[in-house]
Amino acid sequence: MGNSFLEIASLNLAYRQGNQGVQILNQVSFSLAEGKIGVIIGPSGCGKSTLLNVIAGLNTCYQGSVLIDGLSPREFRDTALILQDYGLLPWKTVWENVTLGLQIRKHPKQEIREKGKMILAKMGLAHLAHRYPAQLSGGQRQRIAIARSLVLEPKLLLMDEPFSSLDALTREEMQHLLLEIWQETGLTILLVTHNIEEAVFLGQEIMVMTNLPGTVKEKVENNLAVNGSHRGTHQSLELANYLRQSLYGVMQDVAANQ
Amino acid sequence: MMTARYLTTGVVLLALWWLVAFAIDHSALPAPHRALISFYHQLDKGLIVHIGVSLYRVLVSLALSLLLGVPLGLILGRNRRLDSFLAPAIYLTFPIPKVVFMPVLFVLLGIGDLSKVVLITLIVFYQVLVTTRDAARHLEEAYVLSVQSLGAGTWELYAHVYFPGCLPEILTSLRLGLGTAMAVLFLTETYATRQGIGYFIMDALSRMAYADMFAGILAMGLMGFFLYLVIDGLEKRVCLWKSLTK
Repeated sequence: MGNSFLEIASLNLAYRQGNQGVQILNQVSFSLAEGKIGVIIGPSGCGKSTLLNVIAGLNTCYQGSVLIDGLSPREFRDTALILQDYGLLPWKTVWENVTLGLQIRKHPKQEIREKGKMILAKMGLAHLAHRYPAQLSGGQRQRIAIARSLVLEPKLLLMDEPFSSLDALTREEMQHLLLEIWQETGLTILLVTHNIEEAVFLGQEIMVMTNLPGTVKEKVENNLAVNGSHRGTHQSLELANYLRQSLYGVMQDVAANQ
Repeated sequence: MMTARYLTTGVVLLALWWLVAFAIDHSALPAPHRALISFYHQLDKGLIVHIGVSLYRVLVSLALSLLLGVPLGLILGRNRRLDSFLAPAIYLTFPIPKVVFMPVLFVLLGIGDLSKVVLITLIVFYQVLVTTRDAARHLEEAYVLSVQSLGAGTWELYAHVYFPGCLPEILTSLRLGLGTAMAVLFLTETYATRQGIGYFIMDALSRMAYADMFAGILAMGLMGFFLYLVIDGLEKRVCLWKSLTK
C-alpha cells in the first residue's frame, strides 16, 4: 500500500528483567492510511501503551520498522500523545499547560498567545484558563489534554485509553468531540482502548491485539465508524459481538499459555 | 482569625513562663517582663548587630544548601546509574552527626563566618539533597512522558517537570532544615567568636546577667519564628496547586 501514513513492520520489543528478556511486542505489523482513525483493542498488558510510546518516539529500544510518513518516530515531529490520566502538570494552570508545547518548541510569544487563546475558545475552555487541573472535572481535564495536543497542529494523534476514567455520558460526549475535531482537521488518529463499544464507534480500522507477547492478531475494517449516528444500531452490535468473540479467543489463548 | 489564635498562644506561653519563673524563683529564670524589658534595652546596645550577624549566617547557609542540594538531588533522582554510584556514599555519610566536624572546620577554615556557614550548610545540604532526590525519583512517570511527547528535551524536563514537581518537598525540607540550622548556629556561635546571638547569650551567662541572657534567647526564638513564617508563606504561595480541589 503506497498511501499508508503509518507503517509498522515486524516490530519487536523486549525488556530485560534481571537475566531474562521479556518479549513485550512480537512481530507487530499493521498500517494506517492518512486521515483514518485506527483503534487498537486488547487485554491489559498486551503492550498497547508500549506500542504507542514507540510510535511517539519515546521508546527507541525496538527492532523492526516503524515509519510515519516515511520517517522514523524520532524524525517525525508532528506526533501528539494523550495519556490515560491526561498527563497534565498539576503545578501549571490550564493556560500554562495548553501552551507548554509551543513554549518548549520555542514559538514566538505573540504566536503562543494567539494560538493558545484560539484553541481554548474552540474547546470551550476559555473561562478556565487560570484554573489548575485539580479544580476541574475529568471531562474538562481531558479537553485540556486534547487542546494541549491540538495547539501543536499535529498530523498524527496518539491516544492511550483517553476516555477510560470518564463517566459514560462524558465519555460519549468526548467521543463525539473527537469525531468533530477529526472531521475538521483530517488528522490521522490511533487510539488505544479496551472498550469494545468505543472501538466500534470510532475505529475505521480495528486492530485486535493479544498479549504475552503482544501482537496484532486480527485487523477488522469497520465501515460503520465515524458517521457518528450508528451508536447502538443492529450492525454495530453485531460488530461488537464479533470483536468480543475475537477477544475471548485471545483470553483463552493467554490462559492456555500460562 | 489565625492571627488572633497566634496572639492567644503567645500570651498563654508568656503566662506559663511567668508561672514557672514564679514557682522556681531563681535568678537564672527571670520573669518574662524582665526579659522583655532587657530585650528592648539591649537592642540599642548591640543586640541588633548580633541578630544581623546570626541572620546573615543562617540565610547564607540555607541559600547554599538549596543551591547545592536541589540540583544534585534532582540529577540523582532522575539518573538511576549516577545514583547507584553515589548512593552508598550518601547512605554512609548521612547518619554521621556533622557537628562533630566543628573543631576541624575551626582549625581549617578559621573562626570567622566561613567555618560556621560551611558547617550549617553541610548539615542542611544533606537533608535537602536526600528529600529532593526521593521526591524526584517518585515523580509520576506520566508527567515525564506527556511533556516529552510535547517535544521536551532534558533541560525542559528539569525546568517544567522535575523542579516544579519537587518544589513542595524541597520547601518542606527547607522548613525542617531551618530548625537544624538554628541549633547548629547557636552551637557554632558559642565558641571563639564575639558576634552573633549565640555569643550574646553565652556572654550574658558568664556575666550572670540572666535578664540579658533571656533577651538573647528571645532574639533567637523570634528569628526562628520569623524565618519559619517566611518559608511557610513561600510554600503556600508557590505550592498553591497542592491544596486545590474542585
